Amino acid sequence: MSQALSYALPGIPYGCTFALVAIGLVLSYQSTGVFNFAFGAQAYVAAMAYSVMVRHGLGRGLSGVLAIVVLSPLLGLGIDRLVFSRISPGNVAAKTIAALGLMVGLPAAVTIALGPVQEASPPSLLFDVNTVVLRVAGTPVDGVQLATVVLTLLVVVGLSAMMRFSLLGLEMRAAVESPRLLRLQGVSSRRVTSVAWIVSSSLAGLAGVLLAPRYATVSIDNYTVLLVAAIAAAAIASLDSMGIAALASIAMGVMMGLATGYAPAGSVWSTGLLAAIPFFLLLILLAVNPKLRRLGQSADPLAGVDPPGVPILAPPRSPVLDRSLRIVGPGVLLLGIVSVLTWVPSSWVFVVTAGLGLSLIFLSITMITGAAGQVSLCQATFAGVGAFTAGQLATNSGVPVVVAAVAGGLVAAGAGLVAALPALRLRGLALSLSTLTLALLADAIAFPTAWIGGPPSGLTVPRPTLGPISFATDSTRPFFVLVLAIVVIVGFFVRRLLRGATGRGLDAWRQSPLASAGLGYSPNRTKVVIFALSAGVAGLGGGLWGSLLQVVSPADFTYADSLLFVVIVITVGARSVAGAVEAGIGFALLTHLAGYLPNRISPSSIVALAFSIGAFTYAGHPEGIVEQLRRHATVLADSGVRRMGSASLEVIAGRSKR
Amino acid sequence: MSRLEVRSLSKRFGGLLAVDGVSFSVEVGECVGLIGPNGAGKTTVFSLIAGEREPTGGSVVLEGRSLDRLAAFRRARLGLARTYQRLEVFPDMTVLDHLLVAQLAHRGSTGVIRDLLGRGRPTQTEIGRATDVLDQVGLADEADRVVASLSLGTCRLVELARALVTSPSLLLADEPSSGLDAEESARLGEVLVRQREAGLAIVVVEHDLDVVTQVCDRAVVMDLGRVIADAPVAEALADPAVRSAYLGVTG
Repeated sequence: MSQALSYALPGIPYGCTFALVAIGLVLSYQSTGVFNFAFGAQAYVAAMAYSVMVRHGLGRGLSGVLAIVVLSPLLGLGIDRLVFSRISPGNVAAKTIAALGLMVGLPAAVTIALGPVQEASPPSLLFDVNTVVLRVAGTPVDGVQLATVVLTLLVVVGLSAMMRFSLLGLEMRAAVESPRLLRLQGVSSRRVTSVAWIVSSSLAGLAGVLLAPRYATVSIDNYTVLLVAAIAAAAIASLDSMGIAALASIAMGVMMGLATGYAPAGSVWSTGLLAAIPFFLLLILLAVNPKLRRLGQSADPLAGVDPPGVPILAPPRSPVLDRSLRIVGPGVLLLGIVSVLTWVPSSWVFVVTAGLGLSLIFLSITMITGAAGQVSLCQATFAGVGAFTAGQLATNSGVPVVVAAVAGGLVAAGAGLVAALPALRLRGLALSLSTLTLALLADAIAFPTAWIGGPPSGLTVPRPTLGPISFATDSTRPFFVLVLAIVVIVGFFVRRLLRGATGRGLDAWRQSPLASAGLGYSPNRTKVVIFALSAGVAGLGGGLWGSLLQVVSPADFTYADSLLFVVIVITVGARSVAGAVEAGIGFALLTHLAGYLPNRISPSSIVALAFSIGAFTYAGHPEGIVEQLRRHATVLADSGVRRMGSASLEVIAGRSKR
Repeated sequence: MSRLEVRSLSKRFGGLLAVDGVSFSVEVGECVGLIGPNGAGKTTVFSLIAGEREPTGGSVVLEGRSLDRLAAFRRARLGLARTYQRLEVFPDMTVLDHLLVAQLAHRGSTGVIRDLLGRGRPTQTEIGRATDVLDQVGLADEADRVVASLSLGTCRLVELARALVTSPSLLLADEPSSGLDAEESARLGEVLVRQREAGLAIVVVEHDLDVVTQVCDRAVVMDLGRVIADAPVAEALADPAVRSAYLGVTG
């Protein structure tokens, strides 16, 4: 009994760390209506700021105050004013995508500001990790643990009281239900929402600073894992009650404490699976709790007052412009390909080939996010499954690489099928959450296993040989041709899907599930098939990508990559095959170009930041920035052509008069 | 055999019996007006017939075939089409696309393989059929406009056209005339009458009694979840019980 207690007790402060974040999620969901994927990133920003200030000798107290009471509220206000206040409350997709953009952009901004260095974890704000403050039933409780428990209690009670009993709390809940109705009552909904963001961001700051000493380094990955575990607790509370979320968190902590105590040391259990308990819990909850499936859907009775923005259809082109574009477009494309094959330096050929390989993975996002409007956050994981399968088959079983890559695609499709079955009933936020959880599970458990992700030194994926042709030469040109051919073939079929009954049906389902069922669509089977196909495409892309790099490791296919990929594709254009290819090549070129920036700026961070800013403005260009620019350009060029046309007509008319 | 038979259908929401033993039938080429005061359960009856909600009891039979265990999309494929009280259009699509999507859905299978073989696009016949129907409801000029840019009345006509394009055997029209101007309303009436004459069975939930008298042969009057009258329109409207429940006239 006392042994059980000694296992369970440390679980309480551990659970309180989830609780702080879970309360933050419930608070921000209730007070801003945004399911805040960026909560972990906000906490990370505050923790980094605190750590850097302490390192520069500012003192723990002052640094803590600056990070929690000054920086975090400002960050919250900035996020509200610059990002969310520009999105109409009913636009759930845009809000989710903006939050994902923040999740990618904030850490990138921190890396740019502070340089790509590892920040060792700071000393604790209150008390100390190494001081035993008191003993409960013989179990030592250290300062950080005590502080966590006490602060969690204070936060739960204080915030619950604020939301339930204060006028501000009432106004916040009203602002989420219907900002317009609140305005009609004479309350500024903008002010209320801003205050809500300030409060929830401060809470994120508090959680970040308080929890930073628990880890060896201050890293965004720790906060993401914490976030998803906290989501499980918040999910138990149906994102409804901070008290229940806190209790659930503590129960989860105790459960994990007990499991850690009783699991044999050094077994698979104690290394990977235990930490994954909250993830499994979240997956189950998402599958069974019908309330969670409706997460994020607006119930504003006045939502219809603000009509949805009218999408700009591709403007009709005048015949002259149309004909010239039909000649110029393929001409430029051909010129590009010929250039890559002849005079472009081989380092750039590598970059373009990498971009093409990526665009295959991006095409998988086009299939799900573009066609079905669902944001899957584990496409890099499927790419990893493909790459590792290809690598294992090619190195260990001597299978030709091209065959191995196709097999990788098939295995990834199988994995996609398995992942899709529980996700079958999910859409919107719930689907994004369950795929994010799957990605984290793969990162934590599957990919580090040697027979999947290969040895720690990396898994070799050789370049292919096709009969007499070897693609393993120093120049990447032959390999470029191979990847190009595969992209063209896959793109051709994806385009058929998007334009055929499947794409149209998914599009209809995305816009009105009720009416699409009323027409005879059954989206479930289509969804599973599309999910599996897209996983297969991602897997094939991953295999080729691995073959290009020649060595892959789990670090190449993390959840963070999935996030970044989704943000990139949505920003550039998720609705077309061309968008995926443009995104792939554009991303590769931009990252390469950013390498020419001064040394202390990390090229990948600057590119990630740029694309995440693109994601903030998604509401203004649901078809993607490139498509938007193209339409603007078409309108401009068209009016130019028309003016020239009418001018020449006048000239002709003038001549005939004479 | 009736086109549609509704047999003692009921639906309970918690403590509320929203639909209480409703029975009626609709013959081939007949238009029935389902009328009654707000909250009488008319739209719930539609959602039960269409399979969007599961009834607490009773059954629905379409052309002699029980629909009871079939999901909404299967009922749609059997020839049941409907329009919605709260607009359900696809805002980003053009008017023509609505009708093409409806026809693609009606083909039956999910068609991923057909798409991959390049046979997933609408055929010329399907496009022709869509154009015909748009002509009928007077939307020929709006075919290429995005639905989000149209007025409520026009959207209702889009829903109607989308429902009619698959040549259904039964049409459930939920307040089709609300939000329509006088001219659109008149056209709606004409379209419904023509469809009825072509053999379509129609059930209309409608508050505009002019439309009811124009297009309906019979009226089924509901109040508080029950059918209180089922008779030719003029007769039903003259019924004292109906007058007291529906028109608020007593005595």
